[in-house]
Amino acid sequence: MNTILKIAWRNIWRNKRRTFITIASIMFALFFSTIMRGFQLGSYANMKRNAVEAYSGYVQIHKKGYWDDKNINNIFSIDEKLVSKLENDSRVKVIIPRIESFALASSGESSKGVLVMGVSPDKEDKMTQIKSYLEEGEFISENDKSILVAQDLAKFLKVGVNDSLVLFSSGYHGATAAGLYAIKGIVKLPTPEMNRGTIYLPIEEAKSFLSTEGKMSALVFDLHDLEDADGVLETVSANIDHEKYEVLGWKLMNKELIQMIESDNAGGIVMISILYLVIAFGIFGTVLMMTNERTREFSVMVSLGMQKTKLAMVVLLELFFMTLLGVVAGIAISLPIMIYYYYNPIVFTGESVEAMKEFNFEPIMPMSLDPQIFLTQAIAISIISLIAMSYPTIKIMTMNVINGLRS
Amino acid sequence: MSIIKVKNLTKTYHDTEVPVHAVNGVNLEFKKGEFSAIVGPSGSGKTTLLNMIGGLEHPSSGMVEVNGTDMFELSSSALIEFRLMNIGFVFQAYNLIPVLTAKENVEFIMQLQNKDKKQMNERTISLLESVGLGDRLNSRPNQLSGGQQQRVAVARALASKPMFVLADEPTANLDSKATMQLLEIMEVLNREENITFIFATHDQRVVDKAHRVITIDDGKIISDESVSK
Repeated sequence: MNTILKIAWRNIWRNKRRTFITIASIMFALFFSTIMRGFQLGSYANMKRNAVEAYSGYVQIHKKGYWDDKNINNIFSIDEKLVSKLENDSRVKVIIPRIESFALASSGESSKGVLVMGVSPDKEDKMTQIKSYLEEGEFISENDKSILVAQDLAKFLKVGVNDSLVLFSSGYHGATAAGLYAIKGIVKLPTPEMNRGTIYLPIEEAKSFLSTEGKMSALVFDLHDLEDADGVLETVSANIDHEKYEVLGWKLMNKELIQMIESDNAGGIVMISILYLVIAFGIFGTVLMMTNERTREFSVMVSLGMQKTKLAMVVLLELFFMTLLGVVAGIAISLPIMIYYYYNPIVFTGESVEAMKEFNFEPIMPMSLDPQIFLTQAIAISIISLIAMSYPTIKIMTMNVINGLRS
Repeated sequence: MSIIKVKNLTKTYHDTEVPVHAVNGVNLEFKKGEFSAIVGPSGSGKTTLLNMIGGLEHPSSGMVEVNGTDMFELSSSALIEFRLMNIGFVFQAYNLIPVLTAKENVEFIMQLQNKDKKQMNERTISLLESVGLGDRLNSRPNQLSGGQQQRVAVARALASKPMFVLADEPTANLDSKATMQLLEIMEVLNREENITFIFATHDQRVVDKAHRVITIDDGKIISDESVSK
């Protein structure tokens, strides 16, 4: 084995220029693909996090039919014992009650349709970190009768902290809902759509405003780990009466986002595939030359008594060494850049910000450092090399020694 | 006692419109310790015959028996193993492995045989010293002259302690001095270690050293003469 390794290692340096070009092509392919995938997956994770942690949570319980008809009349109450039981599940971080409804918000000459979120401020903060989004003023508390207004909405309505806002809506069972609320704080929400039209008020005040008789529209579950989402969904499903309630997972609640990510992801994979296709031809060209120019040498080695399988192993090791060097070099040059962008995401400025907000994207491009990125790209390149390796293997195994010696 | 028996050996090529009988019904026997030369003009079939004796090329018909083993009855991998253990080769173009040093080239064969490291090292040094290259152990082929490379090739051929060595035009690329040095080395090895050498050559200097001269033309043995030295 030692000799085989020695021959393979020395062989790759016989034509240094060609080896460097092959290694460089693998290195750059890995560099571009990991950077590209890193930004892609980082953005997807950010979008998911924004959607899940800023709003939907991982699991929600509603009154049956609420998700398709988000009507203030589709509200529910639930056995507190069951909530306590589910809250004691180690996978669950917090369970948040919410009342959601739409209202008309007015101030002076301006008015706009808004999403009114009745929340339990401290619990809500555990999941959405809403306190950290506070730009001006103070955060609301459980017993407040004041509200938090999303930044873009505040700009639209031309209101600030300590100004008042009139909310007008239809309450439970047709009750009139109207109220004048002082603005306690302005929050800059990460999801542009929410930032354009959301108002938070304490849940008790929301119940009173919408006359819900103590009922709520959603019970939102935040978890410690995304991986547990399906398991918790199953547990909750098993514990509730499906005649009265519905349980939805985060994927179902963010169907459009998931579809958008999947289609964008497919585009990314096509781009990387094209990149790899180019690299594959490069690797194959090297293998082709490496094999054909050494037919005589291979024949001599077999004549002397080297088994063809061992000889094929030499060539495979050569390609393996080159692939390994390319992969290691690729990771070595991409990793520092990825680490930099992981801690310093690209923040978009200028006109692109508005364009991104239009599509409901946060105008930043974060980087993912998921080890799977490197693993997947390394595996992809290894598969290409493996396919390329089939040529010398077949060539050696079917080689005619005499023809080779005459070549 | 014969160590090689060639029986009715025929090789016909069908690559051209008219079949070419490169070797045509050859019968030969070689005894242990022979120093034989197969001679003949270019295209006479001497290399094809040598290749078949070495198990490199399959005959169209007939057989080559080495120490009782019909080589062409062996599977492809068994034949390679058989060559490794029993036959040494010296080629016209030296054919050393370019990325290995002289020492490593000689050791290569023994490593394929899974020989003990210490034994391998001793034998390699002894062989290279016997071909006058004790001071060039760590030289790569491109740092050696043609004659030196061919001497390494001889040492390599002997590394496995083969039953016989086949040398195809071993002096064709060498100058007179290198040729004579090489032949003397092989003569000594033959005389002192009783190693069987079979050459395919048209070099008169090789023929002059041979104890047996087999002349071949158009694939047939024309004469087979022993030469007393």
